[in-house]
Formats: sequence, C-alpha cells, structure tokens
Amino acid sequence: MSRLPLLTGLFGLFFSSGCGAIEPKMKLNETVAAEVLESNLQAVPSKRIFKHIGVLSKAEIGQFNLLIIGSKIKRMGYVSSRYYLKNGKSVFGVVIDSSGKFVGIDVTQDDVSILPATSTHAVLVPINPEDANEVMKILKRFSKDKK
Amino acid sequence: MNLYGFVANAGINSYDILGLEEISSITVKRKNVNWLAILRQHLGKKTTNEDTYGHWWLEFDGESYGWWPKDGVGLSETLSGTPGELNGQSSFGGTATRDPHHGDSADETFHPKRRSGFLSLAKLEFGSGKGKDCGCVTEAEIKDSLRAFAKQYSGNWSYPWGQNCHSFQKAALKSSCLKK
Repeated sequence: MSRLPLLTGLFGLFFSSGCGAIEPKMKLNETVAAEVLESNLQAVPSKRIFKHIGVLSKAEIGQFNLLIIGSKIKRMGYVSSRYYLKNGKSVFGVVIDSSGKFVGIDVTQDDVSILPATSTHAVLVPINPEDANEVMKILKRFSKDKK
Repeated sequence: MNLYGFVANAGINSYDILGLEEISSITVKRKNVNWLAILRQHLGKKTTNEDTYGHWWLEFDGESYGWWPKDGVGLSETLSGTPGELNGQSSFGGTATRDPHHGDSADETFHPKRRSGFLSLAKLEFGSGKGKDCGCVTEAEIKDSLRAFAKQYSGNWSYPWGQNCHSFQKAALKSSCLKK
C-alpha cells in the first residue's frame, strides 16, 4: 500500500500555518538591550559561529516589534537564521533567504540559536513584505559596519 | 585498500561474481525522519533540539555530498518543489565539497558494495571511468564518478516525491556502480 497519503497527511499537520494573535512574549523586550549577532548559517547548531555586530537602540527594537505585530506565524522547515537578536533571556532569529530577501523572525522557542535548521520552526512572516524594509536597513548597517 | 582482495589479487582472471565487494573508504550516512517528534512539535506546540527531518549524505576522502533546498520551506514549497542546491551552500553552511552534516553521526551508516555481478551489465555513468563495466572500475574512478554526479546534479528539491536528499543519494550510488 502506498504510504504517500499518510505522508501527505503528516505534512499537512506539520507545516500548516496558524494566523492567530501574536503572543506578547514573541515581542522583543524594549527595556533591555538587544545584541545583534551574525552567524555563519550552519544547519547544525554545534558548528555555528556567532559574531557580535552591534546593539539595537530602543527605537530599533521598536522597529522590530512593529514588524512582529504585522506578521503571522508560518511553520517552516530548513530554517537557518543569518542574524540573531539576543534580548535578555531570549534569542530571536532573523531569517534572510539566499537572495538577501527578508523572510521572517524565528520565534520557535526562547533560544532559537540552538535549534537545528532541519526541525520545525515557527517563523513570524510579515503580512506586508514591505514592512521588512526598515529592519533590513538596520541589519545591513550593522553588518556593513563590521566588514 | 586492496581492490582486488575479493578476487584473490587476480583482477585479470577473476571477477566479483556476486558483487559483494565493500568499498570501505566511502561511507553512506542516513539520519531518519522522526515523524513522531515532528507531530509532537506541531500538536503539542513543543519544540525539540532534535534534527527531526533527518538527512542522507555520502562521505569519502574528506568530502561529502547531499541535496538540500536552497532556502527555508513551507508546505507548498515542500510538496510542489523549490530550487535545490548541492550541500546547502547558500543557506546552511555547506561548501561545494562538504555537506553541512559532514562528520556527524547518523541512524544508519554503511559502506556501499560494488554494483557488479555475474549478470550485471551496469556501467559507470560519470567521471573519468564513464562507460566502463562496474566490475572493472577502480575505487578512484568510482569516487570521481560520485564527484561528477554531484557537480552536475541540478533542479528542484521536494518531499516526499521528486528530488531530495534520499533520491540524490540513491542516484549517486547507482550511477557510480554502488549499492547498499
């Protein structure tokens, strides 16, 4: 008997996206600093190298939170964040695709930097992709400053 | 490795009739998909640091090869296909000759056997020994075929059908005179 129907069903469960309200815990805490780290994109967490490239100002944290508010959760696989935002006890991932386009913010768990790329990730994807322009400007500035 | 050991060092006069010669310098690695963990993650909203999707890749001579999607995937990209890439070079830290999982442990690890035998007409499909009978190719020619296969491989990544790390590995072995 073919196992494809079973696999398809499992994938449906696994990847289906939810569009519920964003929990406050998914936002960055504006009262503490947010350190920006750039990673070498390794799929395997133990092989990742992180480079500190800056600290977000309160206004910049606000830009990220604005983006988060206008986003919906998408369940994705094969996700490796280019940048990480270390904010208090939380570490958020900033996912950029291979063409340099902003994909979303990985909020799968408190510290997403220890998640392998090949597990299920919850990524906050902006409903309006243009909302990502401001945060991309911030990240590019940090990245450029350190190169 | 002595390639002719299986035929009592008489490669001209003898033949690996059953095709049982193991190529110990090539390692096939397979991390399985953990469906239960994936379901737990989704249904229970719990996350895990496990590599739940798994991966299949090949390792030899400090090199490794596997097929990855170029970017992150959702359901539609997984089923309908998205651009694929050798070793996940753009988004997952691989290089042209090294898979991101290089050196990692796997659920299943084995050395492939030469795909030859009494009735086999199989020939090497890539590399410097292209066209040679599988029973006659050298280990170096097999590895060259694996490299050439990986280099020319292109197209999409999708799952469970189409091209993915499983089909890549199976095709690489088959075209390079190897089998499980």
